[in-house]
Amino acid sequence: MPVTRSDWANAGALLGACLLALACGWTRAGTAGPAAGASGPAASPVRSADGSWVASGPYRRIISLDPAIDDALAEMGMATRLLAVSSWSYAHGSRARLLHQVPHQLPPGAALEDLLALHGDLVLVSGASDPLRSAQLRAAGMTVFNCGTERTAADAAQALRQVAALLGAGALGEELASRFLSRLDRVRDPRLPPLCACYVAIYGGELLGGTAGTTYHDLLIAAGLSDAAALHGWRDWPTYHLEDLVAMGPQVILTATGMGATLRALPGAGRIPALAAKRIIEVDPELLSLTGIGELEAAEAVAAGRRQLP
Amino acid sequence: MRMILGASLLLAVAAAASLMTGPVGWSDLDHQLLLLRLVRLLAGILAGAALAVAGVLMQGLFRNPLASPSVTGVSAGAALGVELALMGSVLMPGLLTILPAACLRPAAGCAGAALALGCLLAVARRRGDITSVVLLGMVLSMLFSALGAYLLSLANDRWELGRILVTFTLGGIDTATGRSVAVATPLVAVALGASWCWGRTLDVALSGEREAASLGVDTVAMMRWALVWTAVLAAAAVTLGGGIGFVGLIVPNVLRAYLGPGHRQLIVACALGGAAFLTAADVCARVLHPGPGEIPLGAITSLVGAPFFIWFFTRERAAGRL
Repeated sequence: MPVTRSDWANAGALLGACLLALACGWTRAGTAGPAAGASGPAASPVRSADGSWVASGPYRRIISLDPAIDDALAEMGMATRLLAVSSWSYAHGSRARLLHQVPHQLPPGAALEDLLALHGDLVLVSGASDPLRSAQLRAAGMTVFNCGTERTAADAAQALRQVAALLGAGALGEELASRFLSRLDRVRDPRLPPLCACYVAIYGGELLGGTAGTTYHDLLIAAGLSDAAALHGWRDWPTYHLEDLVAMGPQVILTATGMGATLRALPGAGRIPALAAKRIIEVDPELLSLTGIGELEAAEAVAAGRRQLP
Repeated sequence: MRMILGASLLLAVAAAASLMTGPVGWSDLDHQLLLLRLVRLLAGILAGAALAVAGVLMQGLFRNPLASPSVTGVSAGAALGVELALMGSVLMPGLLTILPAACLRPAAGCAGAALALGCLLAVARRRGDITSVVLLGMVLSMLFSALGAYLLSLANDRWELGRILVTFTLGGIDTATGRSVAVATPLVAVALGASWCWGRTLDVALSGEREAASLGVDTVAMMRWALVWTAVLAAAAVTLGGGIGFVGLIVPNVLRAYLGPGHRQLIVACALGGAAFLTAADVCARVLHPGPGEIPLGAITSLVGAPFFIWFFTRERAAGRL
């Protein structure tokens, strides 16, 4: 194939455009070096879960888009520093009363402009947030700290330590995190035998699970149960078929309130030991979905259900 | 010239509406918020212009008014590249430190588009006929879409990942940053200029491949570079706005009905018209949603585009112009 003058011209233009685009994007802003704190003298920077560094400081106008961390802030007596929280925070947790005093409530999917108009000095986001949204907030001059995904109790404790350190209360955060983990460890009743269990919820005919790498796994373990799905190699939030449950053969099913009867009515449900023996723990779905230190309350509810099993 | 002026006027009106629309009132707007709206506006202008001109190139190349970047598999390839990058950024956050975050999506989009393009050019080199290219493009489009659907099914097990991928698939320019716009600007600007340069050749090619070749047109080079610039435009649009459909079909067809088939004029008018259309759609996405939040931009363009296109197609068919 002969190379013509137009080929050279087009190839040159393409190369030039690519180099120019690369030059425009080639800045590591927001991913390296400590960012400036909002006020007061900047102390040691804390590494955010997305890799950026944020200076610790006495932040007092905090916008929290991470419901999992709100409970921890309330527990540390820092609810008054919250300027705005996600509307999810109001619905969950025993510390909801404290969070009700927060001046602003942000609806799910709040617009970027709404956030900026609040003029907060720190934005806390979860690991589930869109990285581009964080980049936009940083580009607009806001200090953004990513608390991580908080999928497990260990993640929640780590996020708590990090946020406490960020707010200049590292020792308090360390104490609270240790207390949370040790209390979670003491939830189980050691007199009860370790039954094999599985978390399943049913929505629209789909059997949705939650196992290793999620809070559901932690809840089962904390209540003195072993996670059958994790033992069979499942991870995260899988979608099961009934045969998968039969293969796992759980002796106990953990599910949301009201779903036990639906699960028992499934054709073939009698092959699953937990459903055949009616060993089902039903827990308020809002409690089950709690992450962060609220997980402790959910674990206590599961353990209470475990004690009442036939 | 009147059409170009009209498109410019529409763009100016849409741009003004875009700058004035948002949850914060005009009187409370500070320079940061204004900058945010400006970035969003620029993203809409770039993505709209890119999609519309990519549509002109495809329709000119295939001599079919129903052709679009999606026919070549380039859009699906770019989308797959971006989806893989998004998965990587969640599953392996370290990836973001290797490449700047602003470059990750465009680089992945261009890589996906280049992969689709590579397959197309390989066929074009062997066979050289447009039918083979169209057929392979459709197969590639289906293949990349299927792979994208598979990624989405994998992401279902990870809530945060599933949410990001679904948002990207639905399309929207609300997450555009100044840097992502800066990265896309040279790509779109150079591709628009190059497309304009190929306009005359595409005009000659309208008479058919053989006739064009007999008039001295290098049809293989034309096809090669029209595909390359379509890929660049589609990749830039996908990285800025995700899955936005119909712009490349509606805008060129509407403007061609008034301007005729001359490509140079059409490319200029489509760049302006596409920018105006997407900017106006983005304003609608913000205004029409009941309560806080927005309608996905991809849904708006499809909701407006599909019935409009059916009406337009029926009208043109009845008039014997299609």
